[in-house]
Amino acid sequence: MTLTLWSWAWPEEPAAGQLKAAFEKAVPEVKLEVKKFPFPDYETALRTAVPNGTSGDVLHLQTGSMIRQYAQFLSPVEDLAKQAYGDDWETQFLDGSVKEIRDSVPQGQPLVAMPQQYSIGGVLWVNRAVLAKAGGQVPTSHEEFVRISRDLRGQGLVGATWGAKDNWPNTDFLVQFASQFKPGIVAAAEGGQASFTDDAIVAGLEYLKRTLTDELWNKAPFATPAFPDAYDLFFNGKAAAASIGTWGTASLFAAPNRLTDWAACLWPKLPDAPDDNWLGSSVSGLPQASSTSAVRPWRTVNVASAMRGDLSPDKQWAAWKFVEWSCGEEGQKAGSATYTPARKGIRPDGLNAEWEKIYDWHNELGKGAERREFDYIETRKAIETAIAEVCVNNADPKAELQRVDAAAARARK
Amino acid sequence: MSRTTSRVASDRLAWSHLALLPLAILWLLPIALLLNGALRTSTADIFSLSPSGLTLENLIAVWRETDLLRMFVNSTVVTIASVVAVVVLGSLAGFGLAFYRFRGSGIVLLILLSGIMLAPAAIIVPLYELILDLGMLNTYGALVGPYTALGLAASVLLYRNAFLALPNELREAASLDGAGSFRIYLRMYLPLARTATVTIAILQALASWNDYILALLFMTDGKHETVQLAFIAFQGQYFSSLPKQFAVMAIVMLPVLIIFLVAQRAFVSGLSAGAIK
Amino acid sequence: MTAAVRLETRADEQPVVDTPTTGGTRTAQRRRRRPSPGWLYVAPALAVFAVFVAYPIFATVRSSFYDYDGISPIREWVGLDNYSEMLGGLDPYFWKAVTNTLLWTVVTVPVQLLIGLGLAVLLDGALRGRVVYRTVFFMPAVLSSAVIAFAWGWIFNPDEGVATRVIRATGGSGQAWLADPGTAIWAAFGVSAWRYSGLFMLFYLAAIQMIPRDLYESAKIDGASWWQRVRRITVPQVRPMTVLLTLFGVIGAFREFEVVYILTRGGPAHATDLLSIQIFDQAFDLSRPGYAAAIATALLALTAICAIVLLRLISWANRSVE
Repeated sequence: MTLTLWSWAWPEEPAAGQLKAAFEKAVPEVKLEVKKFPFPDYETALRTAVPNGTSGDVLHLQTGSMIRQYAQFLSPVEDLAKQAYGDDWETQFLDGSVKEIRDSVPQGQPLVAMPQQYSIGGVLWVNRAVLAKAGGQVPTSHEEFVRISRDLRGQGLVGATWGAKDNWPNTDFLVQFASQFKPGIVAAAEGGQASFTDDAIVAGLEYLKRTLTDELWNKAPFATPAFPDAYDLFFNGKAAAASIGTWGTASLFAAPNRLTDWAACLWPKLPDAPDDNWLGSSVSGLPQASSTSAVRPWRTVNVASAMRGDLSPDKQWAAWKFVEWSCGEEGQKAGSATYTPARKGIRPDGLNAEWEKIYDWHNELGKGAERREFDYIETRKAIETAIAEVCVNNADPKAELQRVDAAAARARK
Repeated sequence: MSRTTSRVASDRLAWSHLALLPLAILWLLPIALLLNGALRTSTADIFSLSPSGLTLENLIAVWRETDLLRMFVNSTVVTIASVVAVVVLGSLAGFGLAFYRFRGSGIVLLILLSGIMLAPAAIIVPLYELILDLGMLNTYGALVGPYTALGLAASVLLYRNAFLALPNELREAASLDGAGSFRIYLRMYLPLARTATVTIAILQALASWNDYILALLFMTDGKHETVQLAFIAFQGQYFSSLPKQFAVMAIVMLPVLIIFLVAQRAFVSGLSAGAIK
Repeated sequence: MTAAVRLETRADEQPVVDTPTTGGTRTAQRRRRRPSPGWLYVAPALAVFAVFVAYPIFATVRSSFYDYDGISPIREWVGLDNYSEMLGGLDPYFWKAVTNTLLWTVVTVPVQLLIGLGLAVLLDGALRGRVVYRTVFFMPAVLSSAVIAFAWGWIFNPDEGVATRVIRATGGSGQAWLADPGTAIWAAFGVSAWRYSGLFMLFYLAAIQMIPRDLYESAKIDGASWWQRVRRITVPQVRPMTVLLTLFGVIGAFREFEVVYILTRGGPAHATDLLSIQIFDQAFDLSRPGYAAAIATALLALTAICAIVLLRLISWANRSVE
């Protein structure tokens, strides 16, 4: 039987073929066909295909608005998960990851996807070899960050990379930066408990603008897509740092000199933000805390696996076999060569002590991290527009954020 | 041509090179860039100009790792089918409009003309729903139908004009001979409009082969994808291989480029003949 | 002259056969009762056209009166609400896209005409290597949007791009064309000129070759310089072609989508938004196919208006040349 998976997040060749072979070996009755899309085209394809029942049998989805939009077309998975992994199945995944999927749909509706990949984002990945050309220390303040970037620019290198053309890194940054002034403020504004014109969000947006005028970045973030351009700069040794989700760990892990060259830190405290030592001392194995009150990261189940709700019984069986395998120990282990698993305790082989620590964060850092995804696509798009207007066209942050308020209110209705 | 005029002319011609040569280099740059990148293996060398380190390795790897052959077959089937459809339907309609004067022919022409102006983006949503309702998703028809319909307008107009340009005596003679109109179309008009056929075939083949967005939306089962979608497999969410992206783009570009270079004369005369008669 | 330009039939080229050519007596009534066999020939094309073009256009206009998300089956009739939102200033980016779409036609069409004609004039003579030049300039026209956007993306790439490297090598600091809302659309214009000028050149070459040579000979005898001959003979003689190419160019500009979509996705900050891109964004990103349909209808209307104006110009040009 042939099963079709739709994904934007399936690895490239040759890893793709290996993963497929691993699954087909585990479940020989099922032949897997993978249909992969570039992420922006994936949204288009889902929109045309899912409501019409012409999508793949298994879908990779993001939490938040993406799952919310398509939930009505997806199959409930809770009972299947219980049968497959036992009653305590939820605790086998990183803390909060199943809840994040539950929260993607209105309360009382069934769980429609399983956590497959999990990311902590907004962590600054550092290339030590490049950083060494600007003193070798991770930035401990905004001013220090600016200096490092200036030093490197003089050598034809880049301080940090930002692919703002893809939009999602922009909202990621805003969520992070605003949270330094008031944790959880963006989520509250989307839910209607606060306004997007709240001082904290305005300050976060102003800081984002400042990173541009202070030239922390590659030359023109708004003309640079995150994938592949911005991250290629980093992976190819042209940049000292990149803010990326921990889905990047697998790529880093595959890169040359990985164990010696790569490190991670948190974004240093924003100049005007209040002290917020959320890290405390309880967390083990952290990335280097570049300063006390470092910027909070965000967290997300960046890939959740879902099944269409209208499958024939045998197709559904095959679909679940694939989801069960992908989110089970064996599949997660096989996939860990290219992504960061959502299941606790799974990691690729061959890690050294420092890299073991990196894998430990996923659970720990998540506790202080911000929500990444939005409930409504309209709200997200409005924020993207506001960020671009402020950063590119020097628009007034408050006026732009007022429009986001209006869009968010419309979306909630 | 006398000696003096040819010297004057060659003076001017020398100046022409001064204007044309830099422009030609600029014109070739993007294509050269693609080919050069496709022959490199490391990202750092993508823009390298050094002749050493050029290798076919990536082109071969890309060919091995994806089902490019199947994509080429799909593109070829769709392209040939839509070219044939556009030539047959377009010449029939062009003949009908040129050979007969009838009430409504002006409106038919106008309706078809609106098709030339149509931006495909404007109808993409209902078109998808239509393809779906017809059960044509992931079949060649899903592309052949829209490509044909979108190309018909130009085809009908070009054929009609070509047929109208044929001398009146020809039609009258044929009619007096008692030949049925279909015989006249098939034996006389269509062969005489050969240049229009070449023009239409070239335009339609290019449009069909090069389309990206309809193929992306209508061919989604992993079996019917066309070559324009081939690069997607190498655009990783995690760690993209730049040289491979160049290689796959080069593989997509090369067949069209080679056919164009080989059949350059037919292209040029066919296309310009379409405009001039 | 240019056959494709003759979109309106004139008396002298009316089809000779206005009924079946079987001869015999025909009365007006019989003609009215029996449809012309012309319909038989036109019908297959019309059928395909009706299914895949006319019906989707109708469906687009129909959806523009509804509000729905394209996902749930609920459709709400909203009358002209989508249009009043679009035209009434509630959507600041609609007018931006209209401006950009019009700018696209106003800039790229003349540029392509100028380069195309210039190349054609230079390549018309006995120039050594003219076939090679012709091939080179025409080459981009056979490439796909995906390939073109990819290649130019790497030329414009702000950090690694070829253009950036050249400027850096010559001492400049590099210019991030695609990142600056003031320049991004001009970069896209450049790609368009690169892509289509060769096609224009080819059509102009064909038109120039139709000009009677004795016009040039007698001008030469009158002592007209090369430049004067170009201005006084070539340019006016190819005018019908100029009008035709203007029509093609304008239509092409309204259809422009893929290259810009891949190159900039309408950004930065909507600086390169075209109506076609907004249709996509609204329908697929923002789940508002009804509103997208209203924009699509506006695009259709705008194209039709421009085409009608141009067709008027064409018949005027034809008349004044002959």
